[in-house]
Amino acid sequence: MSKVYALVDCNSFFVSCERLFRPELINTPVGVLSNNDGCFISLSRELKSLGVPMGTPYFKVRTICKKNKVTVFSSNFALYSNLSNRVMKTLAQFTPRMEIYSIDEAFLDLTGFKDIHCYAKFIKKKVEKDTGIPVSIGVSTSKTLAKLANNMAKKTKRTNGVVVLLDQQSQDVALHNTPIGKVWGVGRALDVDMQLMGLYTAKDLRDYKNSAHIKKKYTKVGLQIKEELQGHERFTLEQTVKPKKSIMCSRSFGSSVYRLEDLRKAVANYMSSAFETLRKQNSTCGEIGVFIRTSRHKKGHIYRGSNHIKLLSPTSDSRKAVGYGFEILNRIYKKGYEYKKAGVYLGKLQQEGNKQLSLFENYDNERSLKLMKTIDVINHREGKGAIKLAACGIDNKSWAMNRNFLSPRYVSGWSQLLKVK
Amino acid sequence: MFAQYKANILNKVYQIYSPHIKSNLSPVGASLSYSLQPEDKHLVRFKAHEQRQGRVVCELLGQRVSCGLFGIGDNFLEQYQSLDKRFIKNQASTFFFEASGISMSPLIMSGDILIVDRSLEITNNKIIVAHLDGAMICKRIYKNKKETILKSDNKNNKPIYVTKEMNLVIFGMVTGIAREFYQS
Repeated sequence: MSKVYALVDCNSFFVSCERLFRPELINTPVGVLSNNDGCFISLSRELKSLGVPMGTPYFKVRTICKKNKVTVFSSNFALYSNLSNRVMKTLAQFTPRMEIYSIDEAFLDLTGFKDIHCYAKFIKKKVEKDTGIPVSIGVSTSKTLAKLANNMAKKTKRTNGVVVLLDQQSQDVALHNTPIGKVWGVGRALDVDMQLMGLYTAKDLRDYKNSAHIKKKYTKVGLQIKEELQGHERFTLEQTVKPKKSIMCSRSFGSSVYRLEDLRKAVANYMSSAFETLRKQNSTCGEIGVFIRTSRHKKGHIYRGSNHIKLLSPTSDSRKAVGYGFEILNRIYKKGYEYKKAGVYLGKLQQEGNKQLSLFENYDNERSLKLMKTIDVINHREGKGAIKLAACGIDNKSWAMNRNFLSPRYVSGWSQLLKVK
Repeated sequence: MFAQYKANILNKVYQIYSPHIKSNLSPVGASLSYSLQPEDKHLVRFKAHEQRQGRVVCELLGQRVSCGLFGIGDNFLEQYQSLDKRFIKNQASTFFFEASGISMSPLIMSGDILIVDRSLEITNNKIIVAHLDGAMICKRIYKNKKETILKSDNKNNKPIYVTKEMNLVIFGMVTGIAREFYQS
């Protein structure tokens, strides 16, 4: 029996999150900026129609924003992750098989359900009522087609946000109207390549007779995309999250940093954050890397330094890691430069229990593992950063991110609840 | 199950078996007799096996009971009460706000935490949190075919007649409040 997949996707997710507690911003241009108030990572429909594309640096369009009364927000990930969790929880009641694909997208397996279009409309309505986040839903017989249907649901107003492509005819029309570059898995490079082959629309790829040729040119995955467009399931639902193979944590500084001690604080913080993620997926780390660099744009004094250490015994202990981080910093730091960004990289991750021990280095002992776990529990309960290594410093004014447009902590604490008259 | 056995169990003697050796059917704890009141069903969880010679043989679910007074032991410990579980029926749709002002006094006082559930259907005279022309408010809503009115419990506040020009966006219904008398 053929599968039925629905892709539920939140509309301009970060913007919608900010609008939930500011309903007066509905139908107005709103944008959310990346870390350090850099570029736009979420734009409302109204802002897009002002000609501001995704990824535009804020400083470039500051005057346009002021002129058109655009409301700009710094990213408030505490808010976005909370609301994402609510959306996913609400979706979970509609099917036992679900894959959380990203912070604002989920695939739902609706195989075997009756009146799919009706059900999809109900799901949309329920999510919007319960969480306040508007969503679009695309349904079809494969994940790739579901994504295609979802794009249609988003872009075309008269679909009312729900598109179901379960019969041949509707699939034919949809694929004919979808340019090849918009197909899930076909990036910019493949887009040009396929067009040179004479494939301009999704339908062209689907109906291309020579499957062997597709496989040869675009590998097995390329063929799978073609077959998914035909309505066959090739990409199955991934119900468990795969642990990451490498972890990176880096931020641009709000203001320039010159001193080694300030760089150390930054590295200590990024290392702690990366190791929290590491421990959350029960992994240990076998390689640590640190980089620092000056601005990429100022001529003359450009410097980028990086180095890494391979550990003899993998570790998940933040204290050890910060120590290694400082060692690397000592090697790469050069006095007199205006540093703008730093980052840490964790590689050679292994699952707990798969460690290869060494005779020469101290592996994490029972006590340090317990300490790390206790710190994680406290931070989870009391809030991020409740307890941290002394090396992280108490104040971070010298290098903290700029977040000038941050909205209050509406849902992640008690001190900044929205006041109601 | 208790309704069914209540008549049989009252004032009868039963033996409590450890789940580990129920095949042997030899008693572990002492024989006990007590009358089961309806509220008792929360203290004891039984799984009845058979009725023999006028007794109901029950398996006590959980750990072995070393019989102390009245057979009360560890496995009677229920979870602690949780206000979260009582007041939050649907976690995904429950949000908190803080009341400021006295428009809904004496029911809602300034500083109260409002528990708002978006998933509930709003009917007339229910208390809601809504956004009206730039401000978040908490009022009772009354709606009919002709008009929408937002009423305050405080008699000093006039009702608000909502017109089409006004931008009213309802957030959700207030299901309860949390109020601390003494702030630590």
